[in-house]
Amino acid sequence: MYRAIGFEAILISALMGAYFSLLWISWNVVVPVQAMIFGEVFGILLFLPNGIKILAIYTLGWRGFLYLLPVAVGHFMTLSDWNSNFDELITMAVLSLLAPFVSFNILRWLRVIVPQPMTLRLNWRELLCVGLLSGFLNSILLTIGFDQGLKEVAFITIGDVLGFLVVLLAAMLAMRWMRFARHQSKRGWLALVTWV
Amino acid sequence: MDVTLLKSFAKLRLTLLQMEKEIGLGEISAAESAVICAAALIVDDRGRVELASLMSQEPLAAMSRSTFFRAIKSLGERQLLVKESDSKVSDYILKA
Repeated sequence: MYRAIGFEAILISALMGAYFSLLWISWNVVVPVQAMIFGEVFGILLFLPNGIKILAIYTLGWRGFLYLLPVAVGHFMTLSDWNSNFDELITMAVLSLLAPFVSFNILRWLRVIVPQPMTLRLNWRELLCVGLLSGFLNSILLTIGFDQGLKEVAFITIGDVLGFLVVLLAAMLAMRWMRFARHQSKRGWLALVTWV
Repeated sequence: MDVTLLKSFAKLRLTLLQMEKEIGLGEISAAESAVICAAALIVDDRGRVELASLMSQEPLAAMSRSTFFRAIKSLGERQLLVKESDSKVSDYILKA
């Protein structure tokens, strides 16, 4: 039991750490670069934490939602200078985290995606569709919440989708690297870390 | 780790593995890699590889016939080494 709790704690820390790190990169690397190109724009053209959000919710379901809720709320709180009150910000953080769930169900209802019944596993292309719709819904939510226009909808959608694509590719390459590394050191510490 | 978490990670892993294969980053075995290398050494200007000369290449000489043909079949399925359609002898086209 203690082992399970320990693993859960590591998982939550890893998810939160990844979300925060990518958020830091998005704010401190992407935003300055896009400001040089496009000037002051609402939204981030490569919003990497969106990838963590979608992958965590796809993989862990409601657990992923709960694990990311504190960091998502924290993130929205930091946007408080955008003329919104805290209740609205918390509601928006929750709704933003719900976007992948809603997208998944809309696409399933429209029969665009057909997950395998036992595991609800998706084809990676279907997962991309979820990411695309989720980015769009999220952008609608943010532009309504922060009183922005159509240009911002496009900007945020592109940012969310690109962020998801980059994280999806990075996750694929990381898993590939771990497989090779485990193959190289069958009895080393990597074998323990990369058993998944 | 509880079973639900294990299932969750298995789901993600399978999706990413499928993505890896479909975007062309799937792994090739040591035998397939040896066949590709040997084919690259003897390929002519038109990309054609003769099966007889491929089999006689040094890295493949020690390989069992079943492993060799399994590798050829697998590379064919992945469109890396495809059989020439209008050839009476067994020639292949290297597309890797």
